[in-house]
Amino acid sequence: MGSDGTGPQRMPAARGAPEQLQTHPRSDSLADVLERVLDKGIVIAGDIQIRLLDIELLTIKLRLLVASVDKAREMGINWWESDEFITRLDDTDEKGELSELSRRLEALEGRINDSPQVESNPTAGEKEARGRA
Amino acid sequence: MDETIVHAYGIISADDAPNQFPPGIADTTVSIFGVDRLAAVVSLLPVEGFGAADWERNATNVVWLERVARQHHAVLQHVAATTAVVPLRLPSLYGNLKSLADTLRSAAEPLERDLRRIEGKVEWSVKVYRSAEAQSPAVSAPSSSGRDYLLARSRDLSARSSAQEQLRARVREIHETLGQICAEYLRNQPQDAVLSGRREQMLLNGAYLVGKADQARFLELVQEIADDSSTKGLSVEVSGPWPAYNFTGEAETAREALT
Repeated sequence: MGSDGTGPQRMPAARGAPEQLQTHPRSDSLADVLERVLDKGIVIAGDIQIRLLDIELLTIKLRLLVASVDKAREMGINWWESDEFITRLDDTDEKGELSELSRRLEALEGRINDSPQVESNPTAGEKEARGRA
Repeated sequence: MDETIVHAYGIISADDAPNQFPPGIADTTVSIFGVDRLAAVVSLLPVEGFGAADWERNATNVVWLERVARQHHAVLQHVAATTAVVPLRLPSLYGNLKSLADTLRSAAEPLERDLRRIEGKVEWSVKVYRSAEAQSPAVSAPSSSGRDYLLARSRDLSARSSAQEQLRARVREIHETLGQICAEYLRNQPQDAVLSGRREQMLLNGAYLVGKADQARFLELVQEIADDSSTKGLSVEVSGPWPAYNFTGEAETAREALT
């Protein structure tokens, strides 16, 4: 599919700036095809074999999924999660954010490790005070 | 073959039916079924495996759905290369050819209107992403205290939100510029990163109905936009030509707009 030369050609549009070059693993991505085939196009009802309501529901689910995986998940729609392609890509966002958080966490842990020495100072001070009294 | 069910891919004008097709869903033979001035691109699917019950069961199976969707799309893509075609949304099943004929006759008027709307035109898709370097602005110097960290964090956030606003304005401008040479154009919901397969945030998911004669100009314009220095921080991706999925079914769109 898509490699037979009849599918839409996908191309990065940046020529002058190599760092902007974006290549895509598929000539037509799953999201593109699902978005169109299950959400666009027309429904002509007649002796259609599947109730229109069911098509509606499928369309709504799809629209939610394509636009926001998180939103869909919140609403209990998680049927794509069995798909390797998708689960592999998931949970990798906000990487920069995460590394900053782990840096902070490490710093805090470092302080906790130092803390016994910090606490021993007042104790020593107390002894001193007692000794003076 | 055992009992079959009619699957319709799309509707074309009876006058310009192509005579060769790729295999359809489940490798069935695709053919043309003419009704008055219209023709449906159809194939007969085994009821066992593609009946209503199978659809209900497999509507939650993205692997099954992907295979069917891609085969449906491949047929439409082939037809659209030579002929204006109104794509039908999945699932598109009819009990027999007679019921499909009745349906086509009753919907003939809007279908012919749709065919006139897309005649001689194709759909292109342009997506704009925040490129990776724009994604994470320079991280502030490591902060020594929690308070410093929060201050730096709030500075980062406000810088980020004004940069975001500029990018959005630029994206609106790109969409309008491209629209100038299109018969019609619209913005779809940006796709989620998980499904788009891209880490970068999608800012524009635009669909453009372009006259066949204007395609080269359209692509040049996309290229100019991508090369333009004001597009820094954005990456532009174009795909097509697609069947005119986004520009058919006026009644459908109007109804959806209400919900």
